[in-house]
Amino acid sequence: MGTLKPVPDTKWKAVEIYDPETKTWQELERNWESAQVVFGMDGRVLKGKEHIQRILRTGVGEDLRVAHLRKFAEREAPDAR
Amino acid sequence: MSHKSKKAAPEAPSEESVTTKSAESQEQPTTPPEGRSSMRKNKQVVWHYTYNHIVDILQSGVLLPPMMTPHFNERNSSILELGESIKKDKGFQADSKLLLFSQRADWEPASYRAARLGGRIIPVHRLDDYELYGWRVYRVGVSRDLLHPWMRLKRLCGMPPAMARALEQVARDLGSNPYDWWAR
Repeated sequence: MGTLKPVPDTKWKAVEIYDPETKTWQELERNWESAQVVFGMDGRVLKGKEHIQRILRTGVGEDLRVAHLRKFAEREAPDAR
Repeated sequence: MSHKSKKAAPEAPSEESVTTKSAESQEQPTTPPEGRSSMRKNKQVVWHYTYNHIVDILQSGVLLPPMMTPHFNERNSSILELGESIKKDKGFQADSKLLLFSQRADWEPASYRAARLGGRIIPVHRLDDYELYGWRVYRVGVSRDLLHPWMRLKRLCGMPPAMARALEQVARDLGSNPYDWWAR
């Protein structure tokens, strides 16, 4: 069934953090750089196909921020269930 | 990461009001979201709640269904408690595909997590309780027009009806309303 669809940050409207002291949601300022191309655990491209297609089409490479989720899996797992 | 602006969060419902809402939800469900105008649908932001995974999410810049996340196999509570055989279960498979969002503006009670203390698993329901366990709560908002309402998606993902009913009942008992849920 077709529900395994990622939501890339180009579709995000906001990222917020809860402040328990003020009981308010506060928007995070966008001062981090996300990957432009993301490869999933199974090697599929989850984000940034257009970058790869452009490189293939033009034959010109470019510096891209690339993330492999397999590398993320090698990190210590977060403690929350 | 730094804070840019503050938004007042509506007061979380008291236990009394949760009970009232739960009862209302069972007897007289909220109007299904499909019935609302497309203009309103397109404007509304819905929220995906997350905790310790925020670094992975921000670095990759992508929200993923649970099954596709890097630590799914080692951190999924059903796999940890019931073993690998649970992966063959139809309900488990359906649940693992769903990337859930809520249209509630304050907090989605059904997004709660659990803490392990001395081998015991303790559910953490109230938003303010997360600080006790050193967890910060984050949420990512997206436009609702990207998503399907829960009432439709539970069928699309192949969730057994009995499991869906059980999930909805548990959620209502927590003060949640499944008609607030959207998924991808």
